[in-house]
Amino acid sequence: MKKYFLYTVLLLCCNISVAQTVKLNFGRTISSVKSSHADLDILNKTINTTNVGIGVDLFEKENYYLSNEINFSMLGGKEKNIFLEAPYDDYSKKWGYLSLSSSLRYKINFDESKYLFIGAGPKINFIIDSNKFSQTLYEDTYVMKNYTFGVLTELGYVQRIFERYKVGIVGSYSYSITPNSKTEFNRLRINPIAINLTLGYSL
Amino acid sequence: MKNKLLTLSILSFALFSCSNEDEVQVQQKNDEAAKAEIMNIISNATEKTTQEMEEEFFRDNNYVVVNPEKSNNIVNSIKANNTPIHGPYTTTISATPAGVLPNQKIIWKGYEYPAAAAYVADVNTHSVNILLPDGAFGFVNSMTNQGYNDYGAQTQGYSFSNVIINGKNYLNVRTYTMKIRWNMAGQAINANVPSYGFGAKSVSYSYITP
Repeated sequence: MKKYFLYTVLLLCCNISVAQTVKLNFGRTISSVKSSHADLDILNKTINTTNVGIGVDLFEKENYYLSNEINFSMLGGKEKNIFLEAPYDDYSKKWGYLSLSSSLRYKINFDESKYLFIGAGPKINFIIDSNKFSQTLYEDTYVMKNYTFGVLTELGYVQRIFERYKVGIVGSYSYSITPNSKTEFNRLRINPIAINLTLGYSL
Repeated sequence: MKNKLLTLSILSFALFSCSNEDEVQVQQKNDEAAKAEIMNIISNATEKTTQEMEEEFFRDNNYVVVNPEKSNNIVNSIKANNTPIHGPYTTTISATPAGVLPNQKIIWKGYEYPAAAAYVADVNTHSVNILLPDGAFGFVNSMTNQGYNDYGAQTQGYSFSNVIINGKNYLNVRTYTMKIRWNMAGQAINANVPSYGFGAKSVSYSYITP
């Protein structure tokens, strides 16, 4: 864990040294657990959590730039079981994740101060919580993987409000290519949708 | 003469005293026996449950108890002894479930295969609606191939209730079976439980009229 933390700090320092914009993100994340097994609904109802993050924009050109971000969010799901008694009749489970993403954003400029963008890139999620399914029906069956690789897709709008400041709204969908947890017969993935407000400062 | 009279008086008094003392002793013995008998009754008495007291009350008051444990309403489950009981009659519940709730999570108690754990199962309801005369109160005497009366507790049995559907009076009889399909890891199990609860069910029922 220490190793990952050091890598993260190093990556952040490298990014800031070449950054053109630093930014702060905060918003809401909607997540649930997707099961590859068609008849096994595991924490399949959505939960809504807060996420926060920081990031930098690099290599900014007229029509594209690279956005690197670190976000913290709580991901998981909930389920309702009509045949079970409390606490398993209606409960949720979530895990803390730190996500590193690098997204190439293609800009559609309206004018010099505002633009729409679409972006895509790789994303790595590290679990920073206990990786157990404690207090669920799956405690003895599943364990969360320490990290997952995925793809991030984004759509957003950014507007410059002062000379150096800009604000934006960004919607994103992440797909985990590697499962968050698996057994021999089933794979569990968490593919969150997030809506963030972003405040940027041009260096 | 005076001395004789005095002696006689003393003797009479002594005799009277002795006789009275015996009576007192007999009375004391009777009291002790009664006390011992009461203590014996108390020490041999067994504590009665609420249900036993209820049954005793109904019996003493000329009522017949009709499966009180099968009814949610004790008032509906008792009728005076002189009420005619019609039946028993027989009907059949098909081996094919009347309703299936697929892919429900259950906590399996493990009374038979598979081992106790959480599973995903199809919950089957086996039920029949028996048409009764208006105002009649029906009850079930017995059922063959009983499933569970409660899929949560997974205890063998059946349940029934008197229901009005479209203005008609029915006796609804039901029991449950399950097909345990998957364990939580996603491995196929496909166990039909309870193993004794499958097949067509013969239901013996009766009803009483007001």
